[in-house]
Amino acid sequence: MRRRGAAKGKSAMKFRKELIGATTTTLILSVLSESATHGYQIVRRANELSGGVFEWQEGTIYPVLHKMELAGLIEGGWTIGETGKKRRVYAITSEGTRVLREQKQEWAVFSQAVTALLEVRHA
Amino acid sequence: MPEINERIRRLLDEKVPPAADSRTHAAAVIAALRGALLRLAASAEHLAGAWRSRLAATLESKTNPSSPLRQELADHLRDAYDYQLELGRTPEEAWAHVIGHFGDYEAILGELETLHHVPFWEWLSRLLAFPFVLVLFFTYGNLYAGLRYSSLVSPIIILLTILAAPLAACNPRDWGWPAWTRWLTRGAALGAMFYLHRREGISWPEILLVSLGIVFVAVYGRPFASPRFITRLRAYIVAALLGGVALGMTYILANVTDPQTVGYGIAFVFIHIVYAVLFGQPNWKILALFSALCPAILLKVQLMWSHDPFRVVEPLWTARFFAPPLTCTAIALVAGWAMYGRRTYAWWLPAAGVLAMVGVMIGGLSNLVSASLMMNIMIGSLLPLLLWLAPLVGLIRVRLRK
Repeated sequence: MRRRGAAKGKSAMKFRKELIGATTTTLILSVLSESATHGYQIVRRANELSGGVFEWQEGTIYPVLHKMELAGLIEGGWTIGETGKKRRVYAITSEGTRVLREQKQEWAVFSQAVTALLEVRHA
Repeated sequence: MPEINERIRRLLDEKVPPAADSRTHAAAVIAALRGALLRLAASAEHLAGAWRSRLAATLESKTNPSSPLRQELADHLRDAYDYQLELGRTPEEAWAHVIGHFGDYEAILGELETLHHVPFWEWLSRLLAFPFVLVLFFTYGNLYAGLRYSSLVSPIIILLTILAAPLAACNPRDWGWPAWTRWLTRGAALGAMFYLHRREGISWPEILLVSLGIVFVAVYGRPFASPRFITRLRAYIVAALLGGVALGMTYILANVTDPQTVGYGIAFVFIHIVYAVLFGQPNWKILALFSALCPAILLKVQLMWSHDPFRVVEPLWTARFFAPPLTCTAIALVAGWAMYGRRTYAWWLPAAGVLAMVGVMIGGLSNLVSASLMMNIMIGSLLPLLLWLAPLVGLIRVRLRK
């Protein structure tokens, strides 16, 4: 999963691969906790919610979705779209909801600690 | 639409050359075998052209495992393109956007391929899981418990189960046959099992129990299948298994005065729980609750049988053996929770809970034949004690390290 720095002063910002990898699952779960949707919409919603900071490549989300489905965090099902075409829609599972809750707490504590630490260093 | 399909096909042909699909030695070996088989087919003059082309197509699909993945990738590209059109872009703009924002096609395909590849050892272990559990359980059960339906444990039944499972598991679609033919192989496997079991003198509901196992093996152990297949069915499987557990528990409680029937009920519950652990994503809270209830149920059984002159069992004496592990369990849980926090400590709960339950059950089952085997129930009840002590040992180690 690649994430690019976007426009408006943040375009030059590039995130480390480890940081991106560690947060992708949480972000996808967060998007899916709003409503069930398909891969392309997940990318769009994540890009939109991040205010342009993230710019996920559209195709790279699919292997991640496969992995999450294997892990039982999300569930895929087929629906027929308005154009009559079959589309794979993903929904968060109860296990995914639990993991999301835990990861949110974890992230809150972690980011708070890192921010506090960095502020001390720069004081 | 045909135009966009053609564009996607050209793009994938260009970006993802067929050579990129043959990443492993195994793929190379299969490709060589494919060539040899095609040559063989071509040299067989009597073969009809349709048959030859079907064989070629089947082999092509087998030797190019990423074909369905390429199809999936194409679907995603088409989705992305459609969305761009819906946003009001012209076809050319939409296509340019898709090209620019989709990502590295080859890398995506490679990742998908890795996810869909099921290693040999994995599907083989899945395939053998059911008979292995049966052998383990019934070997022990037969030696010590003397189940009501002892014919169920006969080696021939175990052998038949092992032999029938792959037949039920195979998918003729892999050979290019129509989808409906899969029901033929499944039906043949189950039919063979019914017939052979009847010949062995086994009747309902044991046949159902064994057949259920075969169906699960067929679903879970389907060679070369993606594990995603089981994920989709997980909810139904867990529901069915919990139903089985409830049924077994009802059976036990309704026949609590008959040791042999209770033995069968425990076996039924045991197998369903093992399946739940193997095939589903069980709710550990329910399993932990059940494992806590087991001693109580066994204790109740002991109390009811204590009037039997051949069973010299003192209920209070039995209770004394359950009390220490239960107390230690509670202490270990509270201490572990306080020390490690839920997240880390939770790792211990599933394994310990299930193993404790299995230990208690085996101990209880062993006691069904005679009171002289009370030693087994002691072992069964002490096992949880040892298991629950493990986190405490870890806790001490953490303390020492500090």
